[in-house]
Amino acid sequence: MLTTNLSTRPFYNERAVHVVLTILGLGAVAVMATGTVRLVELSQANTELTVVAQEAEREATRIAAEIVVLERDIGDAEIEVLRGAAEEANRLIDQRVFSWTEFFNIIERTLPANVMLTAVRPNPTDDGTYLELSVMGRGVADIDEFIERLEATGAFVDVLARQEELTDDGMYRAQLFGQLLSLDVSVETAAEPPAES
Amino acid sequence: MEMIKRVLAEKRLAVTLVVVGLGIDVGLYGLAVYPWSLKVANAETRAAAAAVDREAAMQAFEYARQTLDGKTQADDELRKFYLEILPRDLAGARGITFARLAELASANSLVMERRSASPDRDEESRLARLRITMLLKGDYRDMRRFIYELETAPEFIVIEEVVLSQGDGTDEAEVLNLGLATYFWSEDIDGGAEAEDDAL
Repeated sequence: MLTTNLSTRPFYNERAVHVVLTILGLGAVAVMATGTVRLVELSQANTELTVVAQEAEREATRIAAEIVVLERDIGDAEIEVLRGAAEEANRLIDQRVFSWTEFFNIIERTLPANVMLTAVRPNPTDDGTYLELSVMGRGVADIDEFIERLEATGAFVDVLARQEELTDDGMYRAQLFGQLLSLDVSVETAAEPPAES
Repeated sequence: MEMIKRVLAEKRLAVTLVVVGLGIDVGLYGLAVYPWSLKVANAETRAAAAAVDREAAMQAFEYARQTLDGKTQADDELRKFYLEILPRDLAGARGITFARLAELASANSLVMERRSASPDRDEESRLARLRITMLLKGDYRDMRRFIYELETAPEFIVIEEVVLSQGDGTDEAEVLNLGLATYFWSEDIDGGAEAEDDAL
């Protein structure tokens, strides 16, 4: 039996070629199918996203138009006027609710024997209520003692004698200035009216 | 190489089909899938930006609505303050102060030695102020009681200043100089408060 290939055109593995070509062909078809599916998906996604974007844009435009209407109703100038009026009203209310009775209760508890209160003027500001006190004392030490006692109550802070001068009758007149923190420290007597003399 | 040429020649149809198929794939991805991917990415970006814009618009709307609500509420409260708590006009301010203060002083055994009143108004304010200065003479305890009754009275009278001094020496009485004020609505102090409701 002749087992040697004597052909001038040697055989090739035809089955292997068929397999390779078949695999390549099937692969191409599979890739084509996947691509087609992907294309359809992309098309659908694009349509959906465009619809979503358009809806959101329409909504944003509609809301922006409503904001313009609202802002027209608000009016910046009007807001400024209103803010000023509200601040003024709050300042007046603060002045009105300032309790002079509580204040005098504290003063009576802290005023040394040799010091006399002659004038008081509260001055409410955005930073708090400040008080101007005019006092007369036999000596500056008495006035200093009054300042220390005032601060010790916790009702006042940063009390300063801005001006002290000797009067003709040998007394010292002082202008005190300090911040009022709270009159609540005299709560045990605050609500009470002054006692009968 | 010779072998490959031979295979290609002998399997021309099959090879052609495979090559055409691969070419179609390349075309499909290069000319359709890739551009559509870009398009979808752009659409995603556009949708995300639109969602952010809508969210920002909704927040701005909510802020504007709250501002308007706050403005309306502040307006109502101010209206109530002006119309229900403060006197309506100069006559009203006079009404809650003059007779009332004299009555209070008398009830607390204080002698009203002098009183003066003058209306004024800050440039930027819509409120006019009636300032009253009272000079009272009497006992310190009576003065305290007078102040207590004044500050607990329903009338909107502000004690702006308190000045205490000893009498002139002929008696034991103390002197209380009180700076008081009340406020009323007035865009024009001379014109009264006729425009009140319109302006509010």
